[in-house]
Amino acid sequence: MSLLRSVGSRTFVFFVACALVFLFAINRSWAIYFSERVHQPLWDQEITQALWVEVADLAQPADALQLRSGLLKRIPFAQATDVRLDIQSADTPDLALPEAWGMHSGGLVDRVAHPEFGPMAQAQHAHWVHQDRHWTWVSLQSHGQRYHMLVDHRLAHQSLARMWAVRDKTILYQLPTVVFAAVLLAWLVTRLMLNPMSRLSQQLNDIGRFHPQERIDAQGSLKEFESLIGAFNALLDRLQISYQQAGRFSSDAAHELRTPLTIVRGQLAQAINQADDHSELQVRLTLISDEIERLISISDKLLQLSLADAGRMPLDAEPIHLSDWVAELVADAGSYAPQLKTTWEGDKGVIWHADRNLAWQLITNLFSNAVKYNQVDGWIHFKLRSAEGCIVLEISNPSDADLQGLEEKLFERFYRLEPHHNRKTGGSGLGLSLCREIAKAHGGELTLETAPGRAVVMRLQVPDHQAHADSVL
Amino acid sequence: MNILLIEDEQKIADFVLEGFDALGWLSTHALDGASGLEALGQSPFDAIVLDWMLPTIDGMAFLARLREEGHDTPVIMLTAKAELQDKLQGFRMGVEDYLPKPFHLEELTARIRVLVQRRAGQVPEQLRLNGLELNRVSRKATWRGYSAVLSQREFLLLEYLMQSPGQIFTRKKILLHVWGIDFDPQTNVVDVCIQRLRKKLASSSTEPAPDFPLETIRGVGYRWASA
Repeated sequence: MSLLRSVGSRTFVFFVACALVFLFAINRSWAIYFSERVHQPLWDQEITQALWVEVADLAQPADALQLRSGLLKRIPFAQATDVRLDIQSADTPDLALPEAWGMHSGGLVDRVAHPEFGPMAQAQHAHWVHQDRHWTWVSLQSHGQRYHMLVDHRLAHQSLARMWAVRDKTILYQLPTVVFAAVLLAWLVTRLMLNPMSRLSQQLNDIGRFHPQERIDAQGSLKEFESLIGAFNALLDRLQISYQQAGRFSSDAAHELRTPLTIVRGQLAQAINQADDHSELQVRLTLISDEIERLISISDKLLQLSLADAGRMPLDAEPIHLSDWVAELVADAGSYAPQLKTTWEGDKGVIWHADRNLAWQLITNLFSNAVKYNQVDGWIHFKLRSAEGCIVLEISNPSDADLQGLEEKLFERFYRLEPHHNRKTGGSGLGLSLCREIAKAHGGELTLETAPGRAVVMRLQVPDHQAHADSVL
Repeated sequence: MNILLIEDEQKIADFVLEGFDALGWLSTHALDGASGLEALGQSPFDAIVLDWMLPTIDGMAFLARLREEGHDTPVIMLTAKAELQDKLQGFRMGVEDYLPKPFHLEELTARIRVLVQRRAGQVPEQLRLNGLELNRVSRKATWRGYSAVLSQREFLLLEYLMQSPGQIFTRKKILLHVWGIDFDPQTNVVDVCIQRLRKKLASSSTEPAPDFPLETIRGVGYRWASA
């Protein structure tokens, strides 16, 4: 059924169906037109004409042999036994002849005059039955003679059957043409209909990705699309307004939090200094101070995320020695996470053009995740590669948490693994989504790969502007 | 040292001024740009700490007026706006340094000190406090005749604490400043580093000297003893 999901295939099927219906209708109308009711008089006329022509050609009015051979040639399908002839003087009673030949009437005598073949010409289509054969009787008068002919009715059927065969063959010959025409029409219609549609969807895509401020111009598109475009533009406006509001809200909220947070942080530091050393109060104030630091870290992240959403993440790009950073982090890991075996491999001298603060936040955040979601006595492995204008940093670690199917969810804001995992490890649930935004702001991407029984791999892939600049030079 | 603080938020000013006071620095507080300019006319300052968003005359306008009047006092900008545009604009207008809110007081005082020293052309190579000498170039520390070359982290940690004697630094603060990480690594990396420092500088005995000025405040953090 999935084949029918494209407009092209549906249009094609529609046209083929139309063509088949059309052919069938033609076939039927022929059948109706050339049913026996129409065909019989034509047949009668044909054989009567044959008789008339042959009689007119006779040199001797009573030359039955010549007449017979002429008629056998002229009447289609006629065999010697299908035609009977008799020539009598003009005043013999009509009806006597078939009976004289031992025929008996099978039903009504349907006598049809054919004045076009002389005043006395007539065809009698009657069920004259003889030796299980039905005969059509035709007679006409000429040269003072009366010519009688009986033609086996089977010939009429044969003639009709031949007509049907011709008709079927003709339609069959038309079939490829019709299918071809259907394909052509389907393609044309699909193109005509879908071209504006695909242009529209291209425009929508561009707006979604590059120019969120722009709107679609209804000018020059199909009339039917105008209301769609209007509705879409209105939707975009509403979305943008609510998006901006939401973005501004979190950015304003984070801004507004900064003043009280500065005060609390400063006052707490003073209070810790002024409390008696080693007093319970001092320890409590320290706990509060740690929570305040966490609050500050969350509000910083929220602010950065809202800036990223508005496409205004501040990028003060400078060359960063990424290899050195990784080496340093791995060297330090021996002190922060001595239980984990931390190693790295890869290219030395990889330089990434990035905002120093954001890049450091990104790398340390990924590292902290690798520490948090590791196994007891596990390991962390960094792999850094720079090739084809692209820097790839992979951080892999074994994990007890089952991350299968969560590859995207983990990047959602405030998403956290099952609660017990968090209480132990802390974190705000914003780190990874911020990491992804930082990667995106640098034109790269951040993905998580999981496989059953295998280590979790976090892959950062960013363009290497330096390599690009070199290749341009 | 004489500092002019222009900050419209009284409560922020309170603890900043208190911090300056604790270091023995003189300070003047102005609540807005206009009174800041007024204060500037009355006495010379070694540095100005300037909030960016101010009533009457805002930080940017204040800076313009300051330079117009021919003052070249170094300025540190404090701002809640962590946006690049503001930062760049500040630097273009002659701001020497930049500190986003919320800031740590120690960081502010350390930066002011560096600015003032740099302006005077005398960033001292040696930091000397409570009998301990720390060389900023060679990273060599000497205490009571024992000397040792410190690792980068040990040096940063010691310098950080020594710059604000008498101030307690929590582990979290130290981790952020010295290691640049704002997550809890669930290990005692700070304590280990402090232990190493003590051992290096009191090396002959296994027990560190009891009067070594690096104090542990249990459950809180560390402090360099006030002189």
